[in-house]
Amino acid sequence: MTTSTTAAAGSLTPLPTGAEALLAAVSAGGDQLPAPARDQAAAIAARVAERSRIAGGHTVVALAGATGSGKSSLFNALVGASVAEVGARRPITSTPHAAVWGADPGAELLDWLGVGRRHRVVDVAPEIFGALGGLVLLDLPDFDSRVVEHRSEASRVLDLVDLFIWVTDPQKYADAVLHDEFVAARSALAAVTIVVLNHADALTPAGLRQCHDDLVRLLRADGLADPEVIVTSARTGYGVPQLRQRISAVVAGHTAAEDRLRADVGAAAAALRASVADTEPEFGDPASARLVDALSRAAGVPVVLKALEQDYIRESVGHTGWVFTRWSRAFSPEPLKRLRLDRVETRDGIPVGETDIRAVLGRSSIPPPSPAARADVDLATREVGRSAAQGLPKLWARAVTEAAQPAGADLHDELDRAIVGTPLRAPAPRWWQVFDVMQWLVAAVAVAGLLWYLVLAVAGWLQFALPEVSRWGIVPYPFVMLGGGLLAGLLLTAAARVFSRAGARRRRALVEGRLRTAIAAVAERRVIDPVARVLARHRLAREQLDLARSCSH
Amino acid sequence: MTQTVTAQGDGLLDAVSALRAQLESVGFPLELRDAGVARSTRLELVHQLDDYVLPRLRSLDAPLLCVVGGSTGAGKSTLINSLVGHVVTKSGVLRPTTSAPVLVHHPEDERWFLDERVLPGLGRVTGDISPDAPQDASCVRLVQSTALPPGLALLDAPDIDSVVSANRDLAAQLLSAADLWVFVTTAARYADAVPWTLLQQASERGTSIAIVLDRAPTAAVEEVRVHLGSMLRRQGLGGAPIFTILESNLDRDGLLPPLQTERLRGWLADLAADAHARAGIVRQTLTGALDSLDARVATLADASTSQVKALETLRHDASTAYADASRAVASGVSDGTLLRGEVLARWQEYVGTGEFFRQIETTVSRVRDRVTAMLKGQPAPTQPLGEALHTGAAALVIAKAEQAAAQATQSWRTLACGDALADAHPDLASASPGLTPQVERVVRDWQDQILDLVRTEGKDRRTTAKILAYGVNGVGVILILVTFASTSGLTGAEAGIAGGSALLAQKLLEAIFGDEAVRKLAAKARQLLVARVEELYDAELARFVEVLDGVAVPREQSRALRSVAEAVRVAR
Repeated sequence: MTTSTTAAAGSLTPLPTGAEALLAAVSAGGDQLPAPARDQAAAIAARVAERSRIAGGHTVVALAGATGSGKSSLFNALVGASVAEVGARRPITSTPHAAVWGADPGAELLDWLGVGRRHRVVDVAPEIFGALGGLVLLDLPDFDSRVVEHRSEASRVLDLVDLFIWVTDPQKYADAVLHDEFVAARSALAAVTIVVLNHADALTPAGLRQCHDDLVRLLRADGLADPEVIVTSARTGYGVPQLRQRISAVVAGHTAAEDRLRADVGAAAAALRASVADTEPEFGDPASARLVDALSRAAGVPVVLKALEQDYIRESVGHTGWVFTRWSRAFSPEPLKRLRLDRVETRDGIPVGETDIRAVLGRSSIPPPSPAARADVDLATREVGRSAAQGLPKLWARAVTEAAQPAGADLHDELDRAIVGTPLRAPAPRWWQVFDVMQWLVAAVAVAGLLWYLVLAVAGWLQFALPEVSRWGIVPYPFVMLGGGLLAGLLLTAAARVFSRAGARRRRALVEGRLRTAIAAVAERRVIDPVARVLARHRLAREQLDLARSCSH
Repeated sequence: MTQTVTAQGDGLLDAVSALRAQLESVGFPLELRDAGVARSTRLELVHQLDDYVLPRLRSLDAPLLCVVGGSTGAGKSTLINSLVGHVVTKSGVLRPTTSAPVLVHHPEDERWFLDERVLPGLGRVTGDISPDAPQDASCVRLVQSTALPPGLALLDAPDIDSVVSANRDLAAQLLSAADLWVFVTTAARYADAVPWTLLQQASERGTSIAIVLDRAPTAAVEEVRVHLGSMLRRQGLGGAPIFTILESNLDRDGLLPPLQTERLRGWLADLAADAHARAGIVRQTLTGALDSLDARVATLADASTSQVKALETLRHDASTAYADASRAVASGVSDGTLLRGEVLARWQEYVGTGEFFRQIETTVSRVRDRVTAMLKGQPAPTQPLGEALHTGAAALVIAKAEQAAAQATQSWRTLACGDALADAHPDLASASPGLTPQVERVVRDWQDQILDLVRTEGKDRRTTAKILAYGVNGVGVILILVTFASTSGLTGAEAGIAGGSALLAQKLLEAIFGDEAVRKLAAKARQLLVARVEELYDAELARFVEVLDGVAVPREQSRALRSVAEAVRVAR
């Protein structure tokens, strides 16, 4: 039956695809879809698979209605034999009864339906037989008597049949049970719904017409757009051929089974669709930038950057400072070393991949985040959750805010590893070497001047007569060398100080960018990704539900 | 009853009136599992007291009110018309036919029904109105008929089971006002579930009942009648008489052949004539109604108790969340860094930029400035430090408030009633919007307070401080060397601060005050902050309390209900 109607369905989603989409939506939606609707959708998807597996091309038609409306009498009239028990005591029928037309007994189908009492219709007039071949007619127990089991059995079977025939009568046609709990609850299946007004012989023709019109009005109120009401009398046989003809038209069409399942899938998808929003909220840059800021502070990035700046200046002094005072650097602090972020050198003196080594060491000594910094991270995380939950239905919004839960104690560790894993250094700038050479040069000149004076003094003490020291103006050359060398050294130091400040700022900016990238990766992993995963599930559920919904109408 | 009730009639009437008054103020606003049942029980009880018990207690000799009720299409209206002998209420094939109640009585009995003695919630319409006129469900139409004997009135009630839910509610209300139910069913209907739930209720409440089996097919009448009789016996209604009316053609006016209604009419006439039998029926129904009060009031009392309990749980959840938050703030500031820094900042303000300038001669300050500028290049970083701490403390307080709001709503959401409240007040899930500026102001005030503390504490040490302030940088140089020598001894936390002058200044501060004094100052500052934050959080918690207070669950509701029910019991 499935294959024959897929083509006829035209632009509609094929039924198996719809059922799969429904199942996919249920599993994507998870707890964020309301449990009853979700369970029902899963059951319907399973039913589609089961029903499609059962071969035979049968059409299952159920006579359902209140006690005393004449379901069994109508059943007997349609079968043409007294199969079902009828009588005055209420309720009579307690278990469903099946009549099967055609050569195929449909045992598998009836087993699936859970109907034990079966009747084969074989010896009827061939023209009727031909028209109804493949029909499985069910006489269901009532749904309104005191016997609760009847009602639950009727409901169970009604979930599985292909065509509903609601049987009612002039006495009971306005009962709340029929309309509120059965017809209205299945109004999405209008395409496979027929209503029979039985006991027509109890009314005058005028009364019957009034009654018929009123029933149509009530059915419209139940949500059936174009209700089809057939007036019958099982006692006199009035209207029974018309009903039989209507049934045979459905049976001949072979689409009832698929129509019903399609309507089921569509209705289940529509019911679930209400708990899914039309779009996912844009959650975005301001919130996550704020989160990265907060995480940076918690990770101690400002401390690291400050240490880095100082380290740069210290190194710079080591290379470009006054040669005579460079020794004092040994007493100055090594800020990065304190944080255990310093350079690691091998025995050969070649700096190796410090990140590798530090990754082995595992931890820095950056101070742990203060409670205030942690609190700031909490606030920023909540902000992300809030912005991502905007416009989502309640259950989804809750899932998003739960996904953006403020991090636990291990967050600090992860941030620390992010910093440890970030290269903090860059090659020594070229100008250090230039200044270094110049410093040594002027220092050498100064020392030479000093030596010159020493030679002069020693020579004078030993009473050697040396040629007159040449002068630059009135200043002797050794003094020019000594004084000039020292002065130039100091000036170079001052200049280097200015340059290294600027260099330190540049280095800081460079590393800050790297650190932020590393921290952003942590933020992504810890907060953004879980939220994005929830939103992705939402999108998948939405798309699949839309696909499943297009299975019907 | 005429004996038992009239003897203490007034006492009982007062007790029942007290119960009725008490029921007026009873409410079940929280969505608990038993709330729905309690609400409908309360409404039913109010109706029954107003419509039946109180009027009956006030006038025991009023005519017997027989309410003809049953399923739609059972032929109630046709039955009444046939009993009266002409059309007083509309009958027809359209269902439901009757939507407004019609009360048929003997002209002599009019005074009993004109005023609002019975069914005070419904209006009255009298006079000759065509049964086909538009029906007004909020009024009872009074019809006089001499076909009925005095002392007995028939009320045509709407159906109990059609799609029109207003009919079902009205029918239930009318049935609870009856002295006697004339319950009409048919051969097709007699096993329906809906009427039987009503019959079961009637059986539990001891209501007097007569059953009319209408539209019985001649062939099957005995079978159905026997089956119905056994069903009634199983329900405990074996004593109810069954009147059978055969399926028969109606006459021109739509009335049943007189033969069919003869037995029922005779029974009703006998009842009207026999004051003793009538009193017996009234007694049975009234006693049953009074008997059923206890269990129903107990249901209400239990539901009230669970309402109060649920409210307590919600209140407790909210206050726990905020107590956790203030504890978290307290422990957050107790790790020292924040507070010592805070005390230090105020100290620097005090010695440095604050009063110091005003008190030291300009020359000295110029010298100091020059020395400072030379050695450090810039003045002490009081301002940025204070700023950082300020936002730190504020962030801590705000974050914990947010967390508390989230935690409180989360625990509310685990309960169905709390979930509904949280949905109704979505703003509860986060801290109040005005919190941030409020916290900032509180933190500023707190810092002023710390400054006062430092000022009082440091008054006599100021001289030392002044002297050392000049040498702060000199001392700093020495301290740098000392610190370098002991680098390995520094903890990570201190190393973080060591970069700036904060640690040095702190060491200095401790040197001047003594470590113990600084610690004490910090502890005091913490107490001050926690006290202020608790105040703030109380205001936040008040939002939850306000919502709960808005849910009007009278605390004493349960006890009051039990005591008025007890009074009724005693008065009987």
